[in-house]
Amino acid sequence: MTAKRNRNAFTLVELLAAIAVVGMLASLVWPSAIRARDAADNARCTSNLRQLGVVIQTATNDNDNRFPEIENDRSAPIHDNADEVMTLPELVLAQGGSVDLLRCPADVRNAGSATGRVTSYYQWKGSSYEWLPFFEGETTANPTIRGPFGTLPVPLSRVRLVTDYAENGEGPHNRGGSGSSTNVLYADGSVRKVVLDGGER
Amino acid sequence: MTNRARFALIAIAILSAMTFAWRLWSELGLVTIDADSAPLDRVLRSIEKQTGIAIATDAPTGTTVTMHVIRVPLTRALRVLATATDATWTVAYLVAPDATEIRAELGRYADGQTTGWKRFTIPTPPMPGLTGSHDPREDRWQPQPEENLHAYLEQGARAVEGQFWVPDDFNPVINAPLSANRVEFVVRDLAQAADATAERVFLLTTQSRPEPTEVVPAAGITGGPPVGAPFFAGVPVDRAVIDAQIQARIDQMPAEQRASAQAAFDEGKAFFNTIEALPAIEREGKIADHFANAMERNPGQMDARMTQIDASQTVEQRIEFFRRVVRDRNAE
Repeated sequence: MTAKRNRNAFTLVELLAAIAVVGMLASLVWPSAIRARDAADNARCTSNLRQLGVVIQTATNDNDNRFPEIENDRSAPIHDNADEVMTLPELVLAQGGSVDLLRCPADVRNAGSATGRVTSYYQWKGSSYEWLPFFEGETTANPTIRGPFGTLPVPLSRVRLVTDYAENGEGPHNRGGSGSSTNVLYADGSVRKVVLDGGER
Repeated sequence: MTNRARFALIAIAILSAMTFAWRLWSELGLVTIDADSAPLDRVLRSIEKQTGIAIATDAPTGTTVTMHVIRVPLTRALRVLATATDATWTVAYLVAPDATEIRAELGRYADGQTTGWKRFTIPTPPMPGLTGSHDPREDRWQPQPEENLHAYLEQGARAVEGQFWVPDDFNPVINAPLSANRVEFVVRDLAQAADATAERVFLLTTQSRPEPTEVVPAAGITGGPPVGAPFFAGVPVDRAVIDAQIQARIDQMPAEQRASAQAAFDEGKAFFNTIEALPAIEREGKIADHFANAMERNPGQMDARMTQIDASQTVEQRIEFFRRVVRDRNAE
């Protein structure tokens, strides 16, 4: 009995060659796909921060034009009266928004990739964004900050209100690229990117 | 199996092995630490094991640390560790007649003692662009002829980032010429010429250090323990020495960062030139104004810097910091 050779089938060599070609093409396309995805994440996060700026602006107007007190996490409070202070999710809900506003896709996607934490900040803190309390209670007409040389006036365009959660000099955006970055919401409603690599060691 | 198939399988096996080897090679020296309230000593030993370096610290026994880094360069891991332990890190080159003395000196450093050795260092102030992922091991030193070991090591402190430690009473004459190279190789050649032993050790130094006025002489270089930037302490440091070291560091920066660092440095130098001849009180007032107005002069740079500092901390450290901010404000 003789084995009949099936001329329609692929040989092992052809199969391996095809796999190698597909692999090479995939390796060429993969970085571009990652960059496109990161850009989309960044755009969504920036948009969220801008909308958050509107929410905070409304809360500020309701507070006699003074920046409100906001708690990041009641289980680790920064205010002595934490129970009386709204968290970011509570503030967003109170203004009729959705807590999806507080979810940055880059944060969720990169959970644990650099900080080693198992969860994203959104899962952990209920928000991908962190409130910076430096200007709480300051009037929007004349915000000031205390420094080693006294009280300094700060223009609204330089008043930092909210930023992406970041740790150990690692922000949620552009990881593995030319430098990870974080976005910052300022009191004038603008959102600006800060590259974190090169921070003080 | 045909010969063609065998050849293809072997080729794929070789490619796979090369990919695996490249991956291992590219991650060589990277650090991964996943520590929650772990003993500092254990974290240090882990970093040593992963990178092949030696680390010493003067942190108290029982210090614990929480840090999480995955496959990051050594300098970044040290930066995170320093932030988590409220410390600073630097590299030190120790030269002594034998390794036993080096071990003993490191033991004294761990206990916070400072006698019997010179520790040449120039405390340079933090400057935008000068700090970050720079690895001081990469610094090049072009040694100029000196008479003895101490003079060479003092020159090293001026030329590169790092500290140079040597026993007070060990200062042989150096006759052999030294050629320019990476700093660790120059130190190795220097030790050979001095018939001595040299070791490179990374130091994690806690912040509880002596007041700058006690240890920074007018020469701008010290045999005492290293200190932080002497900018606001009214310390009579030698600007020329510090300027030369900053310039040396700028010269070694990558081209894309050099221009902005040079511009910032030149601006600072120009300002200090204008106040040099003023009486001390007036000079301090000018310095205060200069830094108070920094936000207006370089607005983007200032708040980007603050964001970088905030982000260099862990969430837990920021919570502590924010609590202080809120309490200080409420206390006013």
